[in-house]
Amino acid sequence: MEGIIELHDNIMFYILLIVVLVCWMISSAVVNFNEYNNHFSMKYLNHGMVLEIVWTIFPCLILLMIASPSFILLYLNDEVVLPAMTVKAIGYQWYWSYELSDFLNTTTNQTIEFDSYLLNDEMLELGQMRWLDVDTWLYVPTNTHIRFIITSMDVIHDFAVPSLGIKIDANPGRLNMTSVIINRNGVFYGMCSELCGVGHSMMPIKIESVNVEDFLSNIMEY
Amino acid sequence: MLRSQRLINTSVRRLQSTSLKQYAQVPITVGSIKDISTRWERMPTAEQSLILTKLKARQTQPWTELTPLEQKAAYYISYGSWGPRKPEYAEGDVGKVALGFLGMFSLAIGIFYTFTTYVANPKPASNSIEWQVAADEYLKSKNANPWGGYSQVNQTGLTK
Repeated sequence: MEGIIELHDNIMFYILLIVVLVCWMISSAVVNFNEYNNHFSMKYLNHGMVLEIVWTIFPCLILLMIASPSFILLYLNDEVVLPAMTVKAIGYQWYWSYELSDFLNTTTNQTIEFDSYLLNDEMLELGQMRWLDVDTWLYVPTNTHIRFIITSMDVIHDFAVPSLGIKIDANPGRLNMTSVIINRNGVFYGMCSELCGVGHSMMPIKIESVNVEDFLSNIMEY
Repeated sequence: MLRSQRLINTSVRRLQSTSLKQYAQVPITVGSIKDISTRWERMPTAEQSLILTKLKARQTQPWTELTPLEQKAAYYISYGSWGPRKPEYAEGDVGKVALGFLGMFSLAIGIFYTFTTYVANPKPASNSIEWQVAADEYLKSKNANPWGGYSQVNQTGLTK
């Protein structure tokens, strides 16, 4: 997420440069070369070699300067190195199902998995977020390298949690992967971001990050 | 064909048979191109083509040697607002356009008001201030969405 914000700031610098330059060019054209105040006629200007070189090279340089940090970030995001735990998020029409295969429920002797459904208006309690809160949400530990594996069992969904910098398509028959390290406790909301049918707006994502000790002591309650 | 039309056609033929060089050297008479922007579209085709021929010949000379009237005429014929470049709405139509816009805008507001007041009623319980204050408190207690949400430093939510 820090990388995404840094990239945004970098690109914003170039955007501001371009905006200032273009505004200056337009305003100077309007002020100096209008109908009543035109210093010279361009009627016989057919070709300007220097001008063409400048307006070709300059955008190329800007694109290169924007491209290099974006590619670095893109390929850094692709790397998933030695995760401490794995969360598998499976999209269904229209809810998310999570599997925590690293943990075994000692009572049922099965890996931990659960479905996460939207709370409808009747089930909401005072202060809960309408169309964002779910009945069972995902707890993850802070300061832990977590690998998310995203897939779908029916149509294409999209697992998007903006505050974590995650947005990955959930394709049926394919496992997509990304990793996250959350540095603070908190709640993170997201939504399915690929139009997946009539219930598309009713499959939110809620992730709560807690201390590792709290996570380990409460994990069996799923 | 009218007599005047025939006369113009004759003069056009005569002029066209003459060398273009001759027109290139002599400025076009003021009367034929003065206020051309107001007269151009009402001119007979023959007269238009006569002026075009003369202007074409004149423009073989350096631009600065053309009289200001000729420059204006050449510019108007090439780029002026006539024919396909004529604006769809005249200057006097501003009021009509503004009225149309206001009418559609009011209609949209009316539809929105009708739906929010009569169709989407009762409103969800979470729309109340009391609920939103509680939600605000909950989100702050949970450090929700630290990048763009409620738990930013100096955030200005409902409860400050």
